[in-house]
Amino acid sequence: MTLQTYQEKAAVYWSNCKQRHAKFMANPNLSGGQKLAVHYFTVAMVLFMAQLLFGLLAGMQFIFPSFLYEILDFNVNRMVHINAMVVWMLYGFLGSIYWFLEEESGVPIVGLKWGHLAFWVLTGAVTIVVLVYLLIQIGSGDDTSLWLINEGREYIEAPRWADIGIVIVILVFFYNVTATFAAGKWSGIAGVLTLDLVALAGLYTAGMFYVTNISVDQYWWWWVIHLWVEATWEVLVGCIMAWSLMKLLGVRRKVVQTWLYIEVALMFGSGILGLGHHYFWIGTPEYWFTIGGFFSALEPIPLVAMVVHSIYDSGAHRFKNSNHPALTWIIAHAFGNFLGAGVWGFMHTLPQINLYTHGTQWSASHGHLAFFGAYATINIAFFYLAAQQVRGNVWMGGDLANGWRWKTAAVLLNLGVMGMTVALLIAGYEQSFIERAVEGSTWAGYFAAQNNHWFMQAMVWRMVFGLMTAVGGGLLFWDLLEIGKGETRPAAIIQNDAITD
Amino acid sequence: MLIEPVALSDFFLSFFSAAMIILTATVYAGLFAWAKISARRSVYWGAWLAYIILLVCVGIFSIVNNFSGYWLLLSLTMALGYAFMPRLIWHLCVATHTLEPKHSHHSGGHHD
Repeated sequence: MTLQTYQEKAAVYWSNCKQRHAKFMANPNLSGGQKLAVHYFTVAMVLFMAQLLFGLLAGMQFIFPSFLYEILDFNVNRMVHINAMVVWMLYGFLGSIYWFLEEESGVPIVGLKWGHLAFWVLTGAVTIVVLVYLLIQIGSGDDTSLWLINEGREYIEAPRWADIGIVIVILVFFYNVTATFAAGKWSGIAGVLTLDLVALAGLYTAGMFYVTNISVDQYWWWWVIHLWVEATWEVLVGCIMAWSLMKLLGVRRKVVQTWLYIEVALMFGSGILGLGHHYFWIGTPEYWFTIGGFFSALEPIPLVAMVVHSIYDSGAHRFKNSNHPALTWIIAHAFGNFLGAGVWGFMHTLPQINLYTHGTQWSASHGHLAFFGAYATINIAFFYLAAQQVRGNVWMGGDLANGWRWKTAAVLLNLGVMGMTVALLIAGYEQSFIERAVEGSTWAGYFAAQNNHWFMQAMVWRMVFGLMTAVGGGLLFWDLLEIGKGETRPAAIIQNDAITD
Repeated sequence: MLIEPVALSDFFLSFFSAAMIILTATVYAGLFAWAKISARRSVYWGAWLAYIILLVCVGIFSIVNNFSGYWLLLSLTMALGYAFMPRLIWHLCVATHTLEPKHSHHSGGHHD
């Protein structure tokens, strides 16, 4: 084909995209904020697929170390895998809040056009950052590379210009949220959400300055990593969950808001100082052993509390709803959060054992299940809520056409992640034992552990379950594009513990 | 306060007892709540059995992690905290749902 043919094909494709976008923007079932939310959800799903793809490539490189060597190195695959996860979760959270903002405040979103502009700026910036990661993989590090290529901090590698852009976008988001609530009505969810967004934007700046002392640098870096994930994200998800439960199961506002306040209190009581478990081995004073150990041991308490409340509710309420995929993913959220964050976290959180496990595949095992259980699941649940509304608030309960798709996707994703978690746990146990305890964390010990047959077998099993997760992810993507199409039955109206068909 | 790391021979016991602490705490909390809902005495005894296993796990965890001084306070906090937390949460559940239309809040209520 000639260049002209390609150009013509591209023009036709672009024209089709614009037509589909215009058709979507005219969808009468969605408010302005919900249309912007669907933009965020769409990019979130694309990034989820990218996370799976780069995870598979990185996993393959554990089994075949020369695979894509000097073409797409392991460190780049791993970086894109983790960055894609962080960003798709943020996209999911931002989208979820835009989704319910108008309904919660009772007025149209203030400054929506700024919100749209921020979305396109953020998406453009993410695209450029990833392309730069892939195109410039090797080189010396200096001020120029820090500003334009890679900041060099694990998990938040985005260059400084993108960092500034992210903060500006979050500030625009903050303006949309606070100005809308100010113009409409405030609620308990609105108050908690607003305060949390201040922390979300503010904490990110802790990872944007550079100091020459590595201990001090790591000290502030953890403020972004831990306090984002185990404080501000948890509260953000609490707000999203509170609204989802009112929508899905008709739980009363007073109940969800009270529990939201309790969650914030528990978060202050354990999550913030639980930060100490990251300070064990970075050169900070030894009192962090005590603080980190104690408060990390308290972190599972909210999860145990959740069990009591869920049993109380199952005994006290009718358990019916008209969006089975969303409810399934909320149930997966409860179990995944409990196992991934609670059980897998506490197994290696105290310094007496963390000395051996920190940074091994044990951490990866905990990370895979905790992030999936605590955050991916709630985002997917919200995607299904959005899909239902996009189709005209149709029935998405039993007897749904092609219901096998969402069920199979849910089974494959949950089994796949659980399988990867167990495989990584075996690898991490072996590393802790051989590399750390027996060999004393030497370079030779590192290779002895990596070449041990238990490690290698575990990596093969991780790949098998990784493929299962990827198939589940693809099926989920397909299902979200198709679910509810052709369905004419309206969804049941759910309010205050009562369902009206 | 310096720490004494887990001995190589106690690795498995440390991991396993830590996991069991969270799991038995959850089983205890779950059975406790179920006993309140169903008013069955056997479930109530089951909850206490789970709690006794939890105490054993806390004990093993404390020994293999070489707890002494302050760290023993942590064991005590876990043992007492996990005993009382389900009760506290139950009271909060009852208090936050007081104004709801009554379905089956009372003991022995039916399940839809």
